[in-house]
Amino acid sequence: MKRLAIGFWFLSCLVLAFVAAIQVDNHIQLLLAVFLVSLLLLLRLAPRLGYLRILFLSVCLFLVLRYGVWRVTSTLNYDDFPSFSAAILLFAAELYGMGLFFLSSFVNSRPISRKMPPLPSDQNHWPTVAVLIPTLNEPAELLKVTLTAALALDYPKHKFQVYLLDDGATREKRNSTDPTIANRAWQRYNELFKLCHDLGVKYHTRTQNAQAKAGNLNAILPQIQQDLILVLDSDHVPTVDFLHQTVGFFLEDNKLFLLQTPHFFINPDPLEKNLAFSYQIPSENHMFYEAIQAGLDFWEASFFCGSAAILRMQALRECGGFSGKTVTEDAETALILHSQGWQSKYILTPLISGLQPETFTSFVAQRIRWAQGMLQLLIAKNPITLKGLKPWQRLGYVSNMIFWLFPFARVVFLISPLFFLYFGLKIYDANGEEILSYAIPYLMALVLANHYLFGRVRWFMVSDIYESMQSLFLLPAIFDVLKNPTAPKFKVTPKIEKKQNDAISPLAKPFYALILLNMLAIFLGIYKFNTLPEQRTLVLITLAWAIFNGIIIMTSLGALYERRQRRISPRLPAGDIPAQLIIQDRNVIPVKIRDLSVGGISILIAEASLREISGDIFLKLHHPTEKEPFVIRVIIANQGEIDGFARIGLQFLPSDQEEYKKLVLLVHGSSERWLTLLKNRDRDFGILASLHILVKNGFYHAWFHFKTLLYNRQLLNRADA
Amino acid sequence: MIKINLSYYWLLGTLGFIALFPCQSLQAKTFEIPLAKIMSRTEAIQLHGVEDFYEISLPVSARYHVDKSRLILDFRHSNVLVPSRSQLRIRINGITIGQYVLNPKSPRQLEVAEFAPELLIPGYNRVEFSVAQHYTDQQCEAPDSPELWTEIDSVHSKFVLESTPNILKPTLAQLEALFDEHLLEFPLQIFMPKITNQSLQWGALATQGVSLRLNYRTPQIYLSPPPLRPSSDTAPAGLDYAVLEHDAILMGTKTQLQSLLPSQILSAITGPYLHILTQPNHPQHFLLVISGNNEQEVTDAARAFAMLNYPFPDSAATTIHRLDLPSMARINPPLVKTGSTYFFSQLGLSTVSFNASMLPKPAEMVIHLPPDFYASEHASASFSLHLAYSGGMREDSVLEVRINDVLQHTVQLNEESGAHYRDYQIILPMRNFTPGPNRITFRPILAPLVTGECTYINMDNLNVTLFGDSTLTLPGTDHYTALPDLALFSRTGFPYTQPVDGSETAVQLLDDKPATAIAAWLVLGKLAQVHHVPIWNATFSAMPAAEDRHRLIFGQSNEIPKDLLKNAAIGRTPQGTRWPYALWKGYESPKQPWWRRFLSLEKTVKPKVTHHAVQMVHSGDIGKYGLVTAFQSPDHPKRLITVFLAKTPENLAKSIHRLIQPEVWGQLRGDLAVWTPKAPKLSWQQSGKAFYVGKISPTRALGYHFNRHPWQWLLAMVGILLLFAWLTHRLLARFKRRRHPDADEIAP
Repeated sequence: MKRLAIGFWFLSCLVLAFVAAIQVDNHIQLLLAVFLVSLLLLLRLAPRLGYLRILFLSVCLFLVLRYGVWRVTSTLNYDDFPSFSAAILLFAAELYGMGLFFLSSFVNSRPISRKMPPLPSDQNHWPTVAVLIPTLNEPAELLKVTLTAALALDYPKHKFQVYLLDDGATREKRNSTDPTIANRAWQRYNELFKLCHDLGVKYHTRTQNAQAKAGNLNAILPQIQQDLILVLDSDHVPTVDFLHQTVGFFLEDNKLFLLQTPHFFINPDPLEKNLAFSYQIPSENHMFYEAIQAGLDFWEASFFCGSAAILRMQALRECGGFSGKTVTEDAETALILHSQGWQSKYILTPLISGLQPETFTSFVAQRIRWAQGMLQLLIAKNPITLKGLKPWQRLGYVSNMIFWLFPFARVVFLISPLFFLYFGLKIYDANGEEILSYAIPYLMALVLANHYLFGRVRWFMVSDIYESMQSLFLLPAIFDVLKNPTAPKFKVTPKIEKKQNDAISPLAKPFYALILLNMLAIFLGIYKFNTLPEQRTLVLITLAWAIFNGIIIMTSLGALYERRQRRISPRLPAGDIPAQLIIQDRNVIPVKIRDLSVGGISILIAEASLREISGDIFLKLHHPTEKEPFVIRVIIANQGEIDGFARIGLQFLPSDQEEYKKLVLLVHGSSERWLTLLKNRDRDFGILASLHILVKNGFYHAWFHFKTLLYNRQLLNRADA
Repeated sequence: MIKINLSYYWLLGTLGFIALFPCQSLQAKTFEIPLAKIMSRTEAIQLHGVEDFYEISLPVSARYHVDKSRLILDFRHSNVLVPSRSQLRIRINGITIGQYVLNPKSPRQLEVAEFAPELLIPGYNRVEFSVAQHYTDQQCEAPDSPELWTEIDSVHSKFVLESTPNILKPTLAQLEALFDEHLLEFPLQIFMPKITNQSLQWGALATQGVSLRLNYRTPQIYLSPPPLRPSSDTAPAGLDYAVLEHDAILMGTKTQLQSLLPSQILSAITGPYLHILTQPNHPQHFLLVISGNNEQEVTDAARAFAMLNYPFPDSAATTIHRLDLPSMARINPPLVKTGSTYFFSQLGLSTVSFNASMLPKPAEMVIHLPPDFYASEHASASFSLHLAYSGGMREDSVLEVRINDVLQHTVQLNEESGAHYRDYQIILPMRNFTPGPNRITFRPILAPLVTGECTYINMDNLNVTLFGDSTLTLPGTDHYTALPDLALFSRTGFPYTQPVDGSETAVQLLDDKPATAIAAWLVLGKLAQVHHVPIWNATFSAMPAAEDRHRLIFGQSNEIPKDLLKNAAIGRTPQGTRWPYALWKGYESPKQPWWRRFLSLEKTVKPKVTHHAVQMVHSGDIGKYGLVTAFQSPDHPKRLITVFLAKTPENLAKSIHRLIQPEVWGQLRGDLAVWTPKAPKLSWQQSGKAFYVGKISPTRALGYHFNRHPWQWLLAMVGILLLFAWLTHRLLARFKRRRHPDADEIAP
């Protein structure tokens, strides 16, 4: 029966491919396209589940397939060698896009959400857990937050142990011949050793810094007797219920080697921050953690993301620990374990809060590592040929790996219209009716499918901006991997960067050239529209395309105008939590908390005379994890005014470690709070509205960028410095 | 005695004169050739502007000696011309034979220009009518002023050639010249002892051989048994040459011709045999003998005569010992292949230069596309032009590209200093071409940069060169077409000319009357002319028996079996003949729903044209009509039957002779046509059902079908998508049930 069903399915695939290849006249194709696009628009209104979801994706796949067949059979005509070369280059980029679309549709065909399995009532049956927090150069102040939260995990104390794995003070570094390095290592060693000792955390460092993070983790594995390990990046602060929500899966399934949870970031990424979208639009990583991983989970291919995941020690021992041949040790380890028959699962509840790169430079550095690592993996352990993987797992991994070839396609899409507008190369041989019948429906299918699958977690055109911005810098890195797959080395992503002033990103320069070339191309396009009437179709295509590219580049330039960042602990929007300000010589004043961090909070108050207040001030509010009122001493750090209210910045003054722990848990301890924040942030405004907001903000900040460039060049120089 | 002597000497002298000057015994003939008869269209010759010219070709046969020649010219002209500067000039082969002042006082002029017959050469003679027309004595005048005109009446203007036929001493090498296309009429007698299936094929091959040599002209065929002259004291029995009136072909086996030919010829027939000789009684005519020891040998000899277009041996007779016809696998039909690139020079258009001062004629090439090609809407033919043009042209100078006289593209020649284009691309939809011959024309329209009244206008510098290494690339196409289509039949002979040897063609006659056979042969001769290759493997029979071939059926209208007409537009009933009658063409206003109008690419929706017709049964016969109808064979659904009918065999032969004249043949359309032998127009209609033949990939076949039924396409697509999605959904649900029973599906 199963074989029969699969047989029928393959047969229907063949029929679909066959009918996509049928060449009927354009007006009939247009009729079909209009009908199918209308069907897509209708299906968007229905629940995006079950049969209707598959029908939506099938229609999109058909429109894409039909376009692909048409491109091959009707548009790749040989005119001359340069034109044909440019046309083939463009087609290759499109082919890549189509392939990625097919894989993405496969991966996201049926994302799933898992319920937490209950833990046994007898705690003796609960597995033991080692919490591993690898660190390289993060400051103690940051580590203290993570360690405090890890120690506060709601789990029997004898059942888990927290380890700080310090690669910043290895014996190799402490014994370095460079006295600066040695001194810094010794200083770090002493500082962290004391911190761990004070907190009750096991400090561990090793002899040498071999194999980066994988080596650091592997070094502790022989000493670990626990059943499971929880890996946390040094800035990933767990919620108290992390283990409660996760270890039950391991009791339920003996073959489970990995339970991955989402990475929830409390600070905005560069685009969010620089375009003033903080906490208003979905973060760049949300698409992966809220949609793609859930889709991969259905196909038993959700993989290890380096942190916020629990792994089974037995599985790690059997495969010899974390694999470190590539710079993405996490995905590599998961791939090997999947190929050995181990299972992975993914849950959607955010159980950590972390930091992501805040400047475009560090963002690009992080993405270079991911791109290089995934391509190293594709070359070294190709999931297509790796033994032991199931076919659907192969597709899942391939989808994630070849995604990182996007810089090639993006660069081609950025320069293709210029081939025609500058040099007259005929990159696209089609008439207006064909464009209407094939190309426009294809583009609409892509846009609608992306919105259908990811509308809530990724706004329209955001991917285009992110990918176009990265592509210029990732492309050389990709070529480096292709040239020498073992060359790339692990580089830690900088997470805490202070910026006192707004500044232009040092990576902005290539975009100036791009925008100039593009603007000129648009003028050339307008000129050619008037002077080359016989080529108006191609002129119009390339002109529209150049304008679209121009919008992307302009918005990118807006995002490349880096806004200042002055705090180590980013403040989170609190949503006007009610609290009370207790002032020694006055009554209790009700206040609303606008935002908060471990360092302090910002409140709104009707009275603007608090500066004159002397004596102690205390803040009293409900503690989400302790379930009781929490009172902590604060001092006024700064004051301002918003909408007629006084905005007051208060700095926390915890009296002891216990109060500090409560403070950490107040900010980072509640997973429910992260869920609420996510819900508020991940909103779908619709394609056109989100496009409007994005372009408006993009152009607004691009204007600042140009203004700075023209009138305030020292900022540019400072950024370079 | 004296009287006797005188009579004797008179007789002797006469015989001697005849022996010495035999041609003097031949009867002179006067050919009157209206200009309209040698023009492509019957129309008046219009000459406009300050200067203009018109050119026609006058055919003169080598078989006649022109003794006297004159041109009678009937023309009218504008009555405001200045006689001192306006004249009409006539030139033949570059020599002026007459010049006439265009006198406004006599706006109609009738002139006779006698000219030396030596100016005429055998073949086509170039005749130019050129005018200089002015409305003022001043130098300044508008060169294209509308009052500058002259009009030559092509019906009443004529050449009169008094000619004497030449005495023939024919050899086989002269066959091409003897079947002379320059003869405006070509009567031919075919003699064969009896009409059999085999002899029908011989006659068909002979007619095709003659038709091919006559190019586009049609012979007048007379078929009869060979006239036998009984034996007398002075001579044995033999062919009665005295009753022969025209050139003749005698066909039959050696045995059949035993009593007709002298023994020395009979003894020479040792295989497939061709012999040509002068008719003793009519030395201006020849007799071609096609014979052999048996029927197969006669067939081989007839095939050799029909197929070979290279001169035969320069002797009166030849025996063909071996004739290797190409096998079907090696046959390359005279068509261009789609999916290939051709240089213009390969297609007959070598490098050509146009100069404006020479009043350049358009350059053209004819490509013969497969008659059944089917190109999708996306298929495009691509011209890559290599051309150069000189400087000093006005920016409205262009080179027009036309296909079958329809403008397709213009190359603007707007560089003041001239230009050289190496790879000027012109992409045209393949559907702009028609099956069969396509005439591609390049017409320069060159305007000088410097013009104006009283200004020397230099035209010599206006040159365009189109190089022969320009290319035409044709896309790959399928072979698939709808039948019946008499227009396709008239243009290409399809489907009877595919394969090229006619091996899938059967010719069937409803009776064994000579006139019916002539009708069949004439049609086959026309198909050979259309296709440039004789159909040498068609089968012939005198019965309309079912056969797995495309069939051509000829006969009397009352003898056609009614079952045969099952799929035809016409039919036979006990009460009479069933005919479709087109009533009117209805223009239905578009009653489309708003959304279909919205989806339509056209700004204004065209009304739907509906042909309203009735079927009428009547007892009247077809009188003088000739009728042709084509329809799907009732026995073999992929085969076509084309029936040619008339009331009597004689009417049929006359009708067919009229039908195959170029001006009528080109009017064939639809699936049913009737005409009368004298009427200039043919009436046609499309009444029967269409069916499709050819080889096509399944996707193209579906595309072809869905192009005609778009809503079926839409429904099929949606159905397949719904099914695909449902199957996928079921498989995913099953996967989830087995692998993730506790998980919930979500929509992120």
